Amino acid sequence: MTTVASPMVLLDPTVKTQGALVSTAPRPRSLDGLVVALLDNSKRNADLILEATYRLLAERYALAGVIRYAKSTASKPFAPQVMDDVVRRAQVAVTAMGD
Amino acid sequence: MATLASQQYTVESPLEAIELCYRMGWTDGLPVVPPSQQRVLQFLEHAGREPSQPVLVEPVTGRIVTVEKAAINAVMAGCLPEHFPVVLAALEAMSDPDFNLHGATLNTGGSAVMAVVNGPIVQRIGMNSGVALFCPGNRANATIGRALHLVLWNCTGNRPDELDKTVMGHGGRYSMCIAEREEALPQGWQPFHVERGLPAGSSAVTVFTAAHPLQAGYHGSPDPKEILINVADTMTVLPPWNQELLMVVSPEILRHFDKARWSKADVGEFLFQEARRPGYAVRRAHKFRYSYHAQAAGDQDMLPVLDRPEALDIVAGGGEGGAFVLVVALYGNGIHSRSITREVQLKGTQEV
Repeated sequence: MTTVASPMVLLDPTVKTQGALVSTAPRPRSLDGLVVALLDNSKRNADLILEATYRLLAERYALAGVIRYAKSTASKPFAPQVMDDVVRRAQVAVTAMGD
Repeated sequence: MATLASQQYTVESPLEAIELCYRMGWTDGLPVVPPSQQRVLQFLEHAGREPSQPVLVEPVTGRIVTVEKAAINAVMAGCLPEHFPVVLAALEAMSDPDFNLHGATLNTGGSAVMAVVNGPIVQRIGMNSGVALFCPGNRANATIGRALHLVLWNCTGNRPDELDKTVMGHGGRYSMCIAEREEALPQGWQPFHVERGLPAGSSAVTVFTAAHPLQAGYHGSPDPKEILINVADTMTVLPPWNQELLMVVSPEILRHFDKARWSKADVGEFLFQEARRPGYAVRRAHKFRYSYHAQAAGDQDMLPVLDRPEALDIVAGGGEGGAFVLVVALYGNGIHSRSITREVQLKGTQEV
């Protein structure tokens, strides 16, 4: 027995990310006079990496201050209000994920 | 006819269609039913939903899974149109922020999405709630569970060549879907979705991020305490203070609970008290990792696997011959992701 194949239209099941995921802010030439935010993703040792980084930055620049945030769980993003706070209060942010 | 947004590919034969799906990277490794436009339209017609309507939003990448994309993936999974409302309800449940889709499905631990279906739809679409519960063989169970993972595969980047960083994982990532065996529930026990606040007689699906299952069981006594001591011992390999833990209980054990007049709360309380390890053993094994009150734990304190008695979810299911339970640990010990229940909306019922 022979069968005559007829064309079949298939539909693409995928969804792609639209546009760039992230874009970087302009890099400051110096950290003098700037407030640094330290963003701890709450995994083990992330706080140690951040504090060590902060100590080096504080030695090299005349920072205007530091603010610290830690996520409640490493598995979820920071709450939007935390990120708003970072934007409002700091000019530079350093994040770390430890383990 | 509904207007569809997805890119189209024309092929000349079913075999060519199956091979195109492989070439495009659309499959989980097993063959799929080619997602023909005609079949997808049948699914959309059955569900009575707008193709462009979002059902799932990936919170970090911002990718939106529409009803149309869900239908395409459900077709590919091998679903029938009457399975599709369950798939949609499960995807909507996965959108709940407490489910934590991004973290729960894109991590190194490799959890699967496990779905539990309740209500009259179980009989209507012929789901398995009994023998060989987590095994192959039932089309509705297998394809609904597979559809959820194909959506993750094709739409939210849950694949090794995109965002998936799973180190080991387990077979539930192909499909992990069961129905609750409501008729086996002891007198006075409510079906799982009714406990979650939905009306009796409604149909619903609950999604869990299933990290890994542990089987336990004891056939030597009808005494709930003897059985649950065995279960508790098995549970103690888990870290302490699970915020949520799922236990699927077989009919034989449920009959023992029924005869002894044990409630779900009694079972939760007993396991909360019984499933414990001393602080030094937990600390030595480095199992404090996700535990939020680890600092306060003394070496001699007996630390509970369950954060509280109510942290235990109990679902009835499985075959007749044996006093077994399956304890299903959730991603991040129930801290990072919580199970979510959604009613299954059938066409024409939204207005009722």
